[in-house]
Amino acid sequence: MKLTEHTIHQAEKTNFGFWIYIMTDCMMFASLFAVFMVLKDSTAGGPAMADIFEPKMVLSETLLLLVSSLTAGLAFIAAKHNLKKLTLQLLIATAVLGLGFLMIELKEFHTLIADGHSWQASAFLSSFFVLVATHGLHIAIGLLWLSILIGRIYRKGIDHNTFRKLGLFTLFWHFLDVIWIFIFSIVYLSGAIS
Amino acid sequence: MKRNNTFKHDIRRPIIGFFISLALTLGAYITTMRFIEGEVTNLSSNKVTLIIGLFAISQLYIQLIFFLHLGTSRKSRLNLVSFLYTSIAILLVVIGTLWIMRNLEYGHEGHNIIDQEQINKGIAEDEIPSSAPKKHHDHQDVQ
Repeated sequence: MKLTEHTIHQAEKTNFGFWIYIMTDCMMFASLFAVFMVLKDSTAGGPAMADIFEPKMVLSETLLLLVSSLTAGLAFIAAKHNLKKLTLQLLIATAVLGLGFLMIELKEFHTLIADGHSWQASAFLSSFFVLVATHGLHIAIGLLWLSILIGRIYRKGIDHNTFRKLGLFTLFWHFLDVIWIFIFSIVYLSGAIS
Repeated sequence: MKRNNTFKHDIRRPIIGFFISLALTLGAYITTMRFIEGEVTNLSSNKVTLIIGLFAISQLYIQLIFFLHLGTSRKSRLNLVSFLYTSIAILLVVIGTLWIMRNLEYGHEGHNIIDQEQINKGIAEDEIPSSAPKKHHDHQDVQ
């Protein structure tokens, strides 16, 4: 099926409902950020953010997610121009980068728990784990969604249905990168200097 | 060939946004690392936090414009309005929470509660901190 102006317009309209969902998700993250900022000094004698901060790991997570946000955006534009092969390649790149991000995050959690700094150790660690893992859970769900989407586009090509879904996914992925900017800045960077 | 040209034109926007975001990310990161390693000594940690915050807000703005295409065009008017509403709600929740919790933690309220508990337990008068004599009398009057 060929993409018409009407199809593109329709897809942009359905984005609004999804946009509202993203706004409510922003509210949830805002309350988790507020909890973190309140509890970040309640370390109960355990480690503070400055003690568990690993700069290189955090920077590589940030860069992976930023590049994957770019490839997702480019995939949407490629789909707009009906370039199926390029769309699929960019989406697979997005999935690989996202998976890399998730692996680093899980490794970070694993190291923390192995060192005895689990979410039960202090109020600070509870709020840290809840905030960062909620974002990680969004990424994991996004990756599941992305793999289904890749399968669909591979089998059915870019029709108005897959195009609409791709638009929603791209929006979701950009949003997760925006949330990560704040985790990167508020949790890691400003936590490390105070 | 024509289609390829317009594709090349369309991808310019996200790529520009990507490089600005990259610069802002590295800016915040390098500022923090230089501060931790003691290379920056003329700034307090509060000021560095503020600089990191400014980097984050600029990147939010860049990504909203270049990636999420949030603009003032009629098509995305509703998106913009709901975004502004959410921003106000987020500011209220976060600033309000921090404000109240800071005051509760180390303010006078906490001391008064402790004083009242001591009074209720019948601890002798001289053990009650003299900083809150008025509260003590009020309580006796009630009894």
